[in-house]
Amino acid sequence: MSVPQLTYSLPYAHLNLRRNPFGEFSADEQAALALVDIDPIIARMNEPGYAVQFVGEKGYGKTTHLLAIRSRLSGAGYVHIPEGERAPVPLGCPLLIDEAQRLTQWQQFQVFRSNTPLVLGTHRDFQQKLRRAGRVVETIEVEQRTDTERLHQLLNARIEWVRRCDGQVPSITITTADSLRQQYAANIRGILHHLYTAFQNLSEVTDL
Amino acid sequence: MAKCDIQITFDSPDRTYCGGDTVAGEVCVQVNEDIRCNGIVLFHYWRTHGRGNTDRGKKHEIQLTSGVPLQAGEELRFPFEFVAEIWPLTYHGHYINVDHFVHVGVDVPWSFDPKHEEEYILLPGERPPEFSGGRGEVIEFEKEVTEAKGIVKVILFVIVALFMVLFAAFSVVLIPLLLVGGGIYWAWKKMIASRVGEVKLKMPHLVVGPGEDWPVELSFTPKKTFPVNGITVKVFAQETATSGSGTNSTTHRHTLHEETHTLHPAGAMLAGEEFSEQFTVSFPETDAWSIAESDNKVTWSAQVRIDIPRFPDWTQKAELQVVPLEFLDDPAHSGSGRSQSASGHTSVPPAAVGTASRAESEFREADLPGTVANNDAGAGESMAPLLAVVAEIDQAGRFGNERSEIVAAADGHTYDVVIQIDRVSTTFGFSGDDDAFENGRTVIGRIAGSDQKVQLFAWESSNDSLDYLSRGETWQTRATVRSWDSLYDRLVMHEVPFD
Repeated sequence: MSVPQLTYSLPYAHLNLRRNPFGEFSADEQAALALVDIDPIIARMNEPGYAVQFVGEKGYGKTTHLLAIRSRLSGAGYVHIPEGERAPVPLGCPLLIDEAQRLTQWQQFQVFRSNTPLVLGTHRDFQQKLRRAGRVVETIEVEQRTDTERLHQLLNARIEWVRRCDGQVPSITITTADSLRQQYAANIRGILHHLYTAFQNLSEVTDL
Repeated sequence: MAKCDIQITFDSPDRTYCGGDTVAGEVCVQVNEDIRCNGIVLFHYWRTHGRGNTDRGKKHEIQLTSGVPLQAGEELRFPFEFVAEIWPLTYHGHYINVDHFVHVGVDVPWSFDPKHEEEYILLPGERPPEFSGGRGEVIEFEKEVTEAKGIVKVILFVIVALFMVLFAAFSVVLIPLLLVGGGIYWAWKKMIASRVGEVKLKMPHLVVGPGEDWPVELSFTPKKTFPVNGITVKVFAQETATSGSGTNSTTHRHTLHEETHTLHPAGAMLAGEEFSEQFTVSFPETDAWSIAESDNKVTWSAQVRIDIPRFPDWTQKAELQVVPLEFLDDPAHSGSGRSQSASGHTSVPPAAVGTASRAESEFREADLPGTVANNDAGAGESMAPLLAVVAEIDQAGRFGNERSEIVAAADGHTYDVVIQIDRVSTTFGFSGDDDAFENGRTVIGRIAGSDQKVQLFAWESSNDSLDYLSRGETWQTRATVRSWDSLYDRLVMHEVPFD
């Protein structure tokens, strides 16, 4: 019995893509693709005692906002605190802390009372504590920043990012984006997982 | 407009290479504006993409040019060539993809570097040096291991020390819990052993190629008589891709293959009566090679189960490693596919082991006195007596003993037989009286000119002619009818030797 001849095509070439646009992206790619309006926040980084917190559940885009800010400010210090673990607070200005609800009490005391501009990604609202520490606080609920239009742009930006060459690529319609938002609310991660499977099953370039 | 446009072309139009081949091509850099350039570098490496974090191999660097000023309108061409890696191979799965890349970057100081990359396809070629030909254990590929920095080692030491201190502090509670847990596990094992006794399971081939005949040996002597729902082996393959990190990670799993083969049907295991069988399972055709990277894994396993009704089952599982046939010294192939049991599972005829076969056919001609020699591959006159038996069997009731009685009446008669082959395997554990079949071949197929299935035990002297036959081809010989296999509805025949 002869060995079956393996034949392959380039990955996702049938969709004019290089990979599944809803797979795992690196932190740099996430930051590059972040469709987040951070200009007003960047502009306030020079204010003394300024602190901004992005509040929301897992998968809603807090990390994306922090990574986008980090990519714009080369002197920023960034840390993501893993669950159940302690992490040292880095040096940098501004200071970006992802999963800030995992800071110890002592770390909160030190960080909140310092003068370094602060950007928090957190499940818990620290507004009161930050104000008591003398901070000027801006609270952004990430869920409210992800409307259908922004979601539609985000999803198609990911598709465009992995385009293989000129020509048609699949696209997400505004109707689909709205439907996904209805189903998953602002849980971007859930939406990406849903679309990953959909794209795996696509056999030709089409609009979803 | 980008500072440069970069194109990468390969000498192979379909970009397909085998491991160890020379990958060659050309890089074309179209300069769109005047820039300072510290060099143009080509990297080639493999990388995963999909649902999990990226795993990548070592980046091999080729300097295409050193620092040169680039002027708008200039077009630079750089031929390149390198030896393709031999592992891992290109894989396009569901959550996991492995691809090989050529990446070109123009080093522009104080600016984003223009870059471009293209994939090429890597098929099985040269065998990795880790493969010595042995099949008995899973082979580990050498990975680049990053030596932990001193501070990391100190932190790890502190963590281990803390854990030991905590364990000592809570030992008063932990040790009894461990003892109780261990006791329950021991009792569970004892309970199963009280029925099946000591079970010896051998899976001689932990390294398997696609489509191979995969051997399994199982033996035990029941301590008590007990019923079984069956003895099965489940072959299972899965992709596991991990995204995120630490405790914030998510693991995505996708089943690639799940197939249960019945090694032994439902029945009774009798106390003191040894059960000892060697089986062959036809491994599926696949290109899902075993992958074991940090965040991306393709794993294969086989689990044997003695299914005991209303009692804990005996099970044992082993990890398998699936590699291309090109990496194996002795790929084991049968003629072809498998028979399907009524349950829809793929069944394996007991005591049948596969061998390699080639796409050539030879015919053995019957020339015993009193018979009609027939050189035709089809059903000629010499087949008439056997076909008459087959016709009787076909008209007889499926249930009851009528078919067995017809076959018993035909026992001892010698027939010319032409078999349309389904598969040929090495005979193992032959239970008849004649040892001459022990090292011969077992032919499974259909009697030419009919739908009647047949299992024919051939003599060792026929091995040379049988080993080159494959599915769909025919083989002619003389044989006696010995019995009726009611499980598979087929004639069992024994080859008659030449004088």
